[in-house]
Amino acid sequence: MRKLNPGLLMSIPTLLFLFFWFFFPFLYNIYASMHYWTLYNPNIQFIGAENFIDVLSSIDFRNSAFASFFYTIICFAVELPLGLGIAVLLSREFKGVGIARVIIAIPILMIPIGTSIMWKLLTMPKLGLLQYFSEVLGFGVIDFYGNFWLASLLILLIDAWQWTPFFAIVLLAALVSLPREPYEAAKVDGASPFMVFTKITLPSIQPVMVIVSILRVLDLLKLADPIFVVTKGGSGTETLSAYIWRVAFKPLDIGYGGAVAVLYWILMFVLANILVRRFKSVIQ
Amino acid sequence: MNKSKTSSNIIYVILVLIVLVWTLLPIYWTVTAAFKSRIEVVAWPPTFIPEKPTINWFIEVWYDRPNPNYYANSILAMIGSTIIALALGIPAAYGCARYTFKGRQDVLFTILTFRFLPPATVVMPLYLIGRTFHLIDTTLFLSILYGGMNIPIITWVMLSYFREIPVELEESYQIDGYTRFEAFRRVTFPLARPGMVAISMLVMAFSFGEFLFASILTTSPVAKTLPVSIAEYMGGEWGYMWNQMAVLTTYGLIPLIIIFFLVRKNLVRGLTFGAVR
Amino acid sequence: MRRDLSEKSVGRRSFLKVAGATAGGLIVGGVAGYLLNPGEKVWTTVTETTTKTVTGTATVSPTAVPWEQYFPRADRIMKDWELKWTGWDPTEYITTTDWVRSIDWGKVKSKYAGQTVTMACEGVDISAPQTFQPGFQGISGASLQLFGIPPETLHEKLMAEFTAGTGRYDTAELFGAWAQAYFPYMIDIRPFAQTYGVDLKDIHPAFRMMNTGPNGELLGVVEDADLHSFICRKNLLDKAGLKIPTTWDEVLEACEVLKPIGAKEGWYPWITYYSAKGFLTFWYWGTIAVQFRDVTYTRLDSWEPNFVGDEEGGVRALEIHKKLLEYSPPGSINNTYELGREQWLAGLGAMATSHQCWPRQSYDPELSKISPLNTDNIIEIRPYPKGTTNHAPENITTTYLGIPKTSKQQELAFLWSVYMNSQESSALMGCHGTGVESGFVSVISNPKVWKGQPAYKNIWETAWTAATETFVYIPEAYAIEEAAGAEIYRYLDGSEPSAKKALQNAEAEVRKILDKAGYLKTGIKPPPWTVEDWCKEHNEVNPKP
Repeated sequence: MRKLNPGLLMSIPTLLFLFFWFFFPFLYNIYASMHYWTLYNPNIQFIGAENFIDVLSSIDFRNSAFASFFYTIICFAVELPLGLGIAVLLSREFKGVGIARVIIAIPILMIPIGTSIMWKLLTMPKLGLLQYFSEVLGFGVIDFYGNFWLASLLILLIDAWQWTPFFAIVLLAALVSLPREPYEAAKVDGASPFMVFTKITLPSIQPVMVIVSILRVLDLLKLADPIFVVTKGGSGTETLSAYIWRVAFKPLDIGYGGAVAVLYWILMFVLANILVRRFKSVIQ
Repeated sequence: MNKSKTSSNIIYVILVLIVLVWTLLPIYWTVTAAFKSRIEVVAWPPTFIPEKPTINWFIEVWYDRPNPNYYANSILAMIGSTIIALALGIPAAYGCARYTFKGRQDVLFTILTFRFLPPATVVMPLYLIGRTFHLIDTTLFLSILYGGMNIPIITWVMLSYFREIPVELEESYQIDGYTRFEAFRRVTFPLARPGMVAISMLVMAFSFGEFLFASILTTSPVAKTLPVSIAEYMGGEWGYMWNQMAVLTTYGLIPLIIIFFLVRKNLVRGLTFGAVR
Repeated sequence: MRRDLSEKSVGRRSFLKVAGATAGGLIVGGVAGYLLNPGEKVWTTVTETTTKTVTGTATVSPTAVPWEQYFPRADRIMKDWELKWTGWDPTEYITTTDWVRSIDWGKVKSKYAGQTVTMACEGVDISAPQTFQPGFQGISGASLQLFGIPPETLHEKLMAEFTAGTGRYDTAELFGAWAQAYFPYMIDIRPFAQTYGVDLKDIHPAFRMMNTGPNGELLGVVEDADLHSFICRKNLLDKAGLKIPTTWDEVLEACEVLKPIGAKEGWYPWITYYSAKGFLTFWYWGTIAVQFRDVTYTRLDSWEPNFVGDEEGGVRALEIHKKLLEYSPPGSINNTYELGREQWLAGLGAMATSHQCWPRQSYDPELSKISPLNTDNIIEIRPYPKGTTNHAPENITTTYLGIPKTSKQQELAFLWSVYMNSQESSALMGCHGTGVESGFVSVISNPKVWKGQPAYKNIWETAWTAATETFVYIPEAYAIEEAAGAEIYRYLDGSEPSAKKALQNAEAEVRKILDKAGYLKTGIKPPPWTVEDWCKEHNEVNPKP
């Protein structure tokens, strides 16, 4: 017998672990998706592709797919530049920079459910602190919970508050460990700070940016927590994860839920594949 | 020249202050809510400093429900899952970084796909599996699942780390008569440690705050975790119990902040993900 | 370029630091948690005075025990201001009958002393069982363990456990609307009731109907019995020169008058109880829709859903629902119960419909900014506004304590559920403002109790006309409400401009679910959905004031 490659050998336990605990249960979704199956009804019937047809013809499914991508894009588009900005800001050495670097990371450490609930406290009409600021500044009551755009803004705020630091600390670490020589050379050549940033800094931290971005995007695609707190999935803000929760998990409709899960997974698989392939050269 | 430098410094300080205020305001609000009375939490206009600060909520939360146990469980699950994720994520990362084999890209990609699996889709079958292995209502089960959820992060980040460390270094050790494993232990592992510390921090934060698995797969004070407890103070006839939730959120911040503060030097060095060239 | 390797290596010191950090985290959380682990103490710490007297005398021999000291009584539950407000004699029972007083506890104690019974309940309301836990432990000699579950996942978690057969609980708090899904996993409690002479018929039929099976089997003792009322702050209406509205048209007129006044003073004419997408939308619309009598969820002889209504009463109700949202604080379209409650108690609204809890909690100075005890507010509780005909408030909400078949302590579990939900204890819980409300005829018709929970007067007067909150109480209830609610919601958020079309879509969705589940084929009659019809079918007297 040919000897197994040690690299593969080292990966096998990991793969087996993941397959056993996550893929194996997921297979059950594939089986369930072809059946009429609810947890409270003992009769399980084979119905072929009916669940898939139902899901694909559902307006809510399409809307939630849109919302998922919409939030992924806006959150990412805000968090990455903001995170980079904060990283640049704190990469300079000044008194107290150490403590500032710790402080900006605290939001990551908050329990997400607690974060969401505290943002609710901050934004309740006529009761929350942000609403108070808005009233003092003369904007009146902000409809954070009922209006799609404002609710999206709040979801963005919550997510950006908690996860911008993720980009910030990672990019900060990258910035402070950059070698000094190219900068000194640029200084001698009289390059403008903007030129230095785009020509030297950005290319050097690009690999880091790509890796954190991919990880963050994958997390954003399953965004659900702030949605429950802000709108409970109303006003068009329902994401795919929240949709699965509402139509499959809560009503215990395993068949329909299975179909949504399978479709979701295919969608994500394709997307992740594109992302990884696109940035393959940068990562390696 | 001097003047413009001062003014740019002022702008700089203002920007830093804005970032800090933006970050700290919700946290400040959380912590003060823990000291306010129930009605003062939603006072209008809001009070920035609690009028009659009370520590009753801290005491109530600690003693009225088994929150100390939940707290301990959260920490156990956090540590357990980090160990599992490291133990399984690092060999895969190392294997893929050091050896070329057919399907290596596929292995890495397969591992990554587990990052976008929404928990709601697998939690019901997991309940049945857990029952078969008598794992329901144990922190071990949570550790396994959280560990699994975080393996993709560990593997991908450590992968780029290991790639950064020149393979010649290990080879020189092997020439000296050490085994491959010894070489790894003596050379690569110490070099990659800051990265491990840094990424473990993130994994810890992810595990500490997980809600859905914990709420379905645990029941009793033996295994239930802090986020589930927070959710128990919301809904039902009492509506939002702001004070209690604020207290628990504050409690939840303490251990992570302490760890974070102690390892901050490692973090800055480690979080480069070894990918800066 | 690669950096110098020596820069990257980490010294022993920093490694020690990391280890120290981890240990530090452990000390702060884990070790402190275990050291301070209150164990039993957690479950018995209750702030009320009862606890102290009870825990001190738990070891007295059964024959010598004066059982009265464990019976629920006003002075053992209520706060000082509550006793003063109601003017009760604190040493007297406020109800005339109480099944706890008729059970032979000596016998129970000799049989069950030292054994353990477990209960699963909504984590939020765990304070209710906690209040009665010391008393029960004293009176029965058994110990009680409570497991809290977040309300958000209660239904799913219990279903997962029941279907998997891992019965960890001897008794569980179940939600009435979706109760039929639990049927196959629960025991009938009537035999136990007979053994101990517990008169379950004292529970109002309105709160019993959804927990009753097709053959009259009863799944549990009612724990929390809610019914909608209309509440308003009379002082605000008076100032605008308005009478308390009795019909929906009057409500909308009053809202129009109040709107400019409220805009100036910082409040809104209406508070939406709940309206978030899904089953909450369906319920809120439903509470209004049944006021227009021609809407039937199902005709009694067939499963055909009829949301539009024969004279389009359902459409009218949906239009009212949307109007009310305009008179509510911004964002009310996605209100959940908790947020609505927050807004009401903060004084953001002049009128609302709600369960009994809001009116009662409005009086509590520690919870409410509009408490009549320290402001000049006047809270009025009235019957639900009428539609075209004189009908009932819909929306009976119950939770009840069921005993799973997997329970190993069925009898003891039954004893706990009747102890916790006896007439006296439920009356006290209602009057204490916990939101856990009484469903007993003997309690809600008792004028003495009305002093502590003013909403009971209205509940007693309207409960006989009530209807179920849910589409129809079958296991698919949740799925149906969720699907129909999502369709109805489309009219509210404007993505479906026609109310009638939205309701027809909802009908179609529901028909699809019913068809899949096989109801349309079988020819079984749907269960009745009003109290009157239910009483007729089960040959019971509908208690009327």
